[in-house]
Amino acid sequence: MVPSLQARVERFNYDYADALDQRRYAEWPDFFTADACDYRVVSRENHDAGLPAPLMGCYSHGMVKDRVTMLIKGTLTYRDVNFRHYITNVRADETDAGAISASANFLVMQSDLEGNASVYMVGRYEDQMAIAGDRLRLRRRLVIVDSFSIDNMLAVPL
Amino acid sequence: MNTQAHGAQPVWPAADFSRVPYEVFTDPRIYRLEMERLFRGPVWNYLAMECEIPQWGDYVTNWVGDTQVIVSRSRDGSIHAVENSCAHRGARLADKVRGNARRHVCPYHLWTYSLSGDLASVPFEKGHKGKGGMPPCFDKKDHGLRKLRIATHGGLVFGTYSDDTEPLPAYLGPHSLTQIDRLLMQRTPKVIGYLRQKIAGNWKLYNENVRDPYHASLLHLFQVSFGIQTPAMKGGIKLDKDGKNTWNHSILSDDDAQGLRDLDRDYAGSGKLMPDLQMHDPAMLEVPLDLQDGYKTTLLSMFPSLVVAQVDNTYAIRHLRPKGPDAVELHITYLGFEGDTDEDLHNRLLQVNLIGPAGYISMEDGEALRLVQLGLKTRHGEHSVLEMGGTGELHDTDYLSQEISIRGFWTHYHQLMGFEPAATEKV
Repeated sequence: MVPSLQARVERFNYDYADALDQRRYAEWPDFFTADACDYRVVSRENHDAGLPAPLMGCYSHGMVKDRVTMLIKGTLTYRDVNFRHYITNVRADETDAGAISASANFLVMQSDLEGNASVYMVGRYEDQMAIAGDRLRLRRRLVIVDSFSIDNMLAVPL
Repeated sequence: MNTQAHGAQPVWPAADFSRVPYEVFTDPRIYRLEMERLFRGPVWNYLAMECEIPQWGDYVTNWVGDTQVIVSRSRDGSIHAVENSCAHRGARLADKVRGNARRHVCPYHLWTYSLSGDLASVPFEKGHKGKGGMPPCFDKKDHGLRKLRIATHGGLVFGTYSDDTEPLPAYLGPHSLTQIDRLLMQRTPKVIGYLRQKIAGNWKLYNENVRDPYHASLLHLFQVSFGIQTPAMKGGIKLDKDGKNTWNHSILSDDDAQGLRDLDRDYAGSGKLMPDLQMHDPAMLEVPLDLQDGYKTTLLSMFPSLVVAQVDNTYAIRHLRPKGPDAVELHITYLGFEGDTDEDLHNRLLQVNLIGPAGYISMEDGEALRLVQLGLKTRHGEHSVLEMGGTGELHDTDYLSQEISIRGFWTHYHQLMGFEPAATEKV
C-alpha cells in the first residue's frame, strides 16, 4: 500500500524529531534540500507584528550545517538536558508536482539530568517540502514559537 | 536603618567592593528592598524607545523592577508612564504588551483615566436615581494612577519615581551620551524584532555579566574562534562618576589572528580554543561594520537595568525585568535603521544569529547565570571575589581582563541600598 501524503509527512516529522531528540545532530541538515533552504525560528510576537528578526535563522544549507556543527564540536556551552518532541495536528497538501505545503503543532518537553521534566517549547511548523524520490526534504521550515520567552537558551534547533 | 528591621543586612567586607555577599542574590527581603530603594529610588529606568509609540494613543507596557507600567503617547506628543494598576481595586488595565488606546479603561468597573493617569470618570459616581454612588467627599483628583516622571534622550524614554533623581544627562554621564549619539542618533533606529530570554538567575548577575569582559573570551568560545572578541584585542572600559554606568569596548585590529594563536596556554588546556574552526557558510561573519570606527563590540551598561549593545554589526537594547530573587527576563529590542537597504536588512537577519537566546555569542550567558545562581544558593555569609584587573580605587582601563567595572556597579548599589558601610579590611 502506498502511504498517504499525510502519513509520509508525519513519518518525516517523527524521523526529524528522533534525530534531534537522540542527539544525532549530524543528520539534521539531511532533512533539508541541499541547494536552497530556509530554516527560521520566529517568536509569535514578531511573526504577528510583521517584525522580520528571527530568534535563529539559517538561509542556506551551510548555515543549517553550522548550527549543528557548533553543537557537535562543543564550541557552545549549552545546558545538557534531554528533549522530546511531540508533533501533532499534521496537515499536508501537494501544491505542485513534487512540492508539499504542510504544517504541524509541536510540543517539546525538557528533562534535566536529575529527572525533572517541564515544558520547553510550544509552537507550530509551517513547511514547504520537496519530494525527492522516496524522501521528503524541507525547502523551508518556519518554526513559530508561542513560548517565545525562551527558557534559558535555544541552542538545539526545534 | 530599617534594613535591620527587615533583617536583611549582608556583610560587605571590602571597601573597594572586591567582595560581594552572596545573600544579595538570594534573600527575598533584599529583593523587596531593591524594588523600593533602587527602582523607585533616584534612578532613571528605561521604559521604551520613542519610535515604538509614534502616534497618539500608541502604548507599550514595560517593567520597572517587577512593577508593570504603561508608556504612552498623548495627543500633544508628550510621553507618559503610569503604573498598570487601577486606583480602585488594583486590576491590571492594559493586558496587551503593546497597542493603541486613547484612554485607559479598567475592565472591571470601567473607571477611566487619561493617558497621563488622571481619573476622568467613575461609572455611577453619583449613584442611580439618587441612591448609591460615591460619598460626597470622593474627589477624582485623589484617585489617579501612580505616575512616573519622564525624560528622553536619543530616542530612549526613561522614567523615575523620585523627585531627587538628577537630570538625565548628568545621570547618564559623558560616555553614555557619546555612545547613545554614536549608536542611536547618527541614524534613526527602528525596531525589527523582539527577543526574550528567561534567565534562572538574579537580575544583578546579569549586570555583573555585561560589565565583565573577562568572561567574554572564555565563556563565549564562538566569538574567540571567529575573532569577534578575543583577549588579544585592544579594548577597555570607561566608568561614569559613580561607577554605576560602564562602557566596555573592543577594537578590531590586524594582528588579532596571530594574537589568538599565541593564546593557547591561557585557556589552561581546556581544549575549548579552536582558532582554526571554519564555518560552512561564513556570510554572517563577513558583514562589514556599518560604523567606520573599528569598534567590534561596545556594551554600554546603565544602572540599574539597561544595556545598549553593539556586537559586531548588531544593535540592540537589552532590558532587565526582575522576576523575583532568582529569575529575570532579558528583553531585547533588536534594531535596524530608517533607510536600511534590502541588503542591510538581510545582513541584520544574518547577524541576529550572534545575539539573543539562540545567539552564537550570547546564548551562554543565561546558562552561566543559571549555574552561578545554583552554585551560590546556600553559601550564606560567604562572598564572591572580584580582583581581576586590580583592587582599590575604581578607574578606567585599556585592557579587558578586569572586573573593575563590576565593582563600580556594587559601589553604587551599596550606596543606594543604604547598607551598613563596607569594611576596610577584607575577611
